[in-house]
Amino acid sequence: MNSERERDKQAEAALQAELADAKLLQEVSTELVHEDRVETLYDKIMEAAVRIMRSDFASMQMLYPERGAGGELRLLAFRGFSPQAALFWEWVRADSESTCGAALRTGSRVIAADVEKCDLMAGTEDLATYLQTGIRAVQTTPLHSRGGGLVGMISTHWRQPHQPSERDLRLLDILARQAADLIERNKAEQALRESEDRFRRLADAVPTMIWVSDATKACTWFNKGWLDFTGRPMHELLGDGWARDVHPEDLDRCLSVYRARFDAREPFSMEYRLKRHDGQYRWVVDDGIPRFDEGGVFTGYLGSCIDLTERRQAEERLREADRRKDEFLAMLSHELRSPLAPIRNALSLLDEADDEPLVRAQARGILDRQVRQLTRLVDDLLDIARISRGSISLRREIVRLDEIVAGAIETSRPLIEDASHQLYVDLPQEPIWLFADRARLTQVISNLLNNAARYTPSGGRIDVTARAAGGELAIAVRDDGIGIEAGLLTGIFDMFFQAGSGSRQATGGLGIGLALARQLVELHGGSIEARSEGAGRGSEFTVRVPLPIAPALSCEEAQPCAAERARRVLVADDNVDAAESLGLLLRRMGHAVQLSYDGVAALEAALREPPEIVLLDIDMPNLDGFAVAARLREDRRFDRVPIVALTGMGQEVDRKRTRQAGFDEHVLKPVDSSALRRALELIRGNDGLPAGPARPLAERTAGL
Amino acid sequence: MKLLVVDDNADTRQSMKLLLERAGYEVEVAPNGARALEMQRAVSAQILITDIFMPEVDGLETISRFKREFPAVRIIAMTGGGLNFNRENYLLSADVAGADAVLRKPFEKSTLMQALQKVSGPAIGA
Repeated sequence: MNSERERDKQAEAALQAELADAKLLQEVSTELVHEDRVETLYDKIMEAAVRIMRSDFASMQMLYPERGAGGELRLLAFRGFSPQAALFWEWVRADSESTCGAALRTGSRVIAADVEKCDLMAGTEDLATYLQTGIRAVQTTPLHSRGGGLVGMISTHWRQPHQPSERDLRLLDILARQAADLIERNKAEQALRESEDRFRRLADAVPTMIWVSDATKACTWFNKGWLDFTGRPMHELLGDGWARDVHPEDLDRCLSVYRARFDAREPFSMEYRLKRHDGQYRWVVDDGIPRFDEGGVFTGYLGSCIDLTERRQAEERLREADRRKDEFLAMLSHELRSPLAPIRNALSLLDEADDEPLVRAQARGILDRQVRQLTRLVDDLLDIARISRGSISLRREIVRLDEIVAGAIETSRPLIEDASHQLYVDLPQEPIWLFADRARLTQVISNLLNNAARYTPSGGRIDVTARAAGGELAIAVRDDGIGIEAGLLTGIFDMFFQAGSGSRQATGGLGIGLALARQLVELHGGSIEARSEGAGRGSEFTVRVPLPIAPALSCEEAQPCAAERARRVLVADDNVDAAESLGLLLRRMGHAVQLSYDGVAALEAALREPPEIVLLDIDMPNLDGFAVAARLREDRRFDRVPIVALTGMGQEVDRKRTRQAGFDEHVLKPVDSSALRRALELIRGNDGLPAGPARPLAERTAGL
Repeated sequence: MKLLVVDDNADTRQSMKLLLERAGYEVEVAPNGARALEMQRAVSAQILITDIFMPEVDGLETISRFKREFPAVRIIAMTGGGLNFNRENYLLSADVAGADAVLRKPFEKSTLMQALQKVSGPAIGA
């Protein structure tokens, strides 16, 4: 009876325990579904394992199959262990002599009812750690996913030797299934988190603005690019906060495209203006694509946005350049064909007017002028080609301004006269000398005159004026023509630019004249400037070029003297400017000049090709004027060659010194041109001409 | 028959005048469209030969004003242009503006004579 009652009691207790365990398992299952925090769930599983197995410890591991050989187990949760023991078992390799290592190798449950009697662990560090932790018995059960793969282990441990019952193990297997599910879920979530993290890091690194919206059209995320561009924090942009930066004129269109495409779940691409952090609206292109999850359920949109403003400006510049090129080609056709019409006509006239001298003369005049016009056009084109290759160079010489202006007027006369313009020229009284390329500077002024003639209605007035001041010469060409709108003034010196382009008021020309003029003036070290009071109020173009520095040389005196014979002159001066200005003056007088910048070079040049006269600076490095003169006097070829000293020292003692050194003349610097002329006359004696103050040769050399 | 030749190039005017006078036409010349319109009142030319690309009043403007003010005058346009200019085809524009013939510069004398024949044909009969 007693024993029967005992049995009943035991049975009831067992039933109670089973009920409690079943209830526990059910709780765990429920929490697996409802609880989000994975750590809480791990704890719950550990608690359940200890209760089901009536153990003192429990642990749970996750398998990282890619680590080591055969994978490694990582401790996810535990109960009852000291932190040191947890640390020891944080990672367990497949070759570990623990129950979990063995379970990992075999893939099935391993039970050590008494670790001290277990062959597997005898003498291992694992055993020592078990014993140190107070563990005498352990079981490890592999966790298999629903797909059959091994995902981890669940272990329970006892302080005393213990053989778990079949019933306990059966319940544990149910718990193990749930633990496996949990690990699976955790792995998937972790992969998602990593993927999300990768996406965000990538999205923040690209130079593109990126946005994400959810299925309700609300924006849920913007990358760093967007935040930086708009200068707003994320919370201001979320939902439809971003729309406040869209230009008011673009907003309705932008939103309607967004909504329509969104509802249709179609990709879109649209351009609108978006306000940058500095308040400036920038054109952006926004490309959006719908997002769908694995099951094909629509989850929202992903979009990227690029600032187009610079690209648009570049495109506009390209289009403008292309348009100008088209116009240039059309103009080129016109400009080349137009002179060909009278040429063709003139040829017909020559054919049919064999014995009519007047008609033939007229035809020849036409041919001459129009061929000239065509040649000039072709020359301009070649100049443009040279300038764009940067291979244009100047042939500078000393030229008179009035000659340049006269040449330019001569060239532009037909255009000016055709339009019946009045031309007024006002140049300074005294001659102005320039160090310039005669042909190029003439071309510049002529281009300005042509423009004035073209862009002034018939019967207009054109003024050419020049003023020398502050070391530079300003030449201005002014007209009372159609003028230039203020907005066009800056572009007017660009290639292919033309007033009136875009209207029918075009007036011929290739639109290269001013571009060419600017390049040529800049090559001269000068500048060119356009001014106008506005449309219909005339234009003024001013060319500024530096005036040459020619100390003590009056321009008037530098006029060429046709009567004078051309002489071979050697000039030596270590002051390059002094040597060159003297050289220019002599060349202007019609002489052939050899320049040297030190005594040695002067001596070499003189001995190589003896000149008719030598002009020597006294103070020169290496070999001074005295030494050069002495060496030349040793050469018989120089017996009759005058040698002139150029010096700043004018005392009688200095003059005596140069005379004694063999110099024929002592000329004070800066060189006065009458003194230069007197010096040159020394040569005349050598020509056997009666005139000239040259002293007899004997007297000249007496000092030696 | 009286012709009025309009061109901003003096040599073109002179050579056209010489050529056409030798072919038996009476020829007046003008350097631009505005002047041509002025002259026409006194000259009463039957045929206008005009350049297209000119300063101030250009050829197209000249043609349309002649058509309005002197509808009896037949018109020959001549141009060295013809490529796309200002996104307009000048040859085409001249047609649209109402020229009876269009010549591309330079042209043979025979081409000019044919154009004159063509535009003056019915008028001569009348």
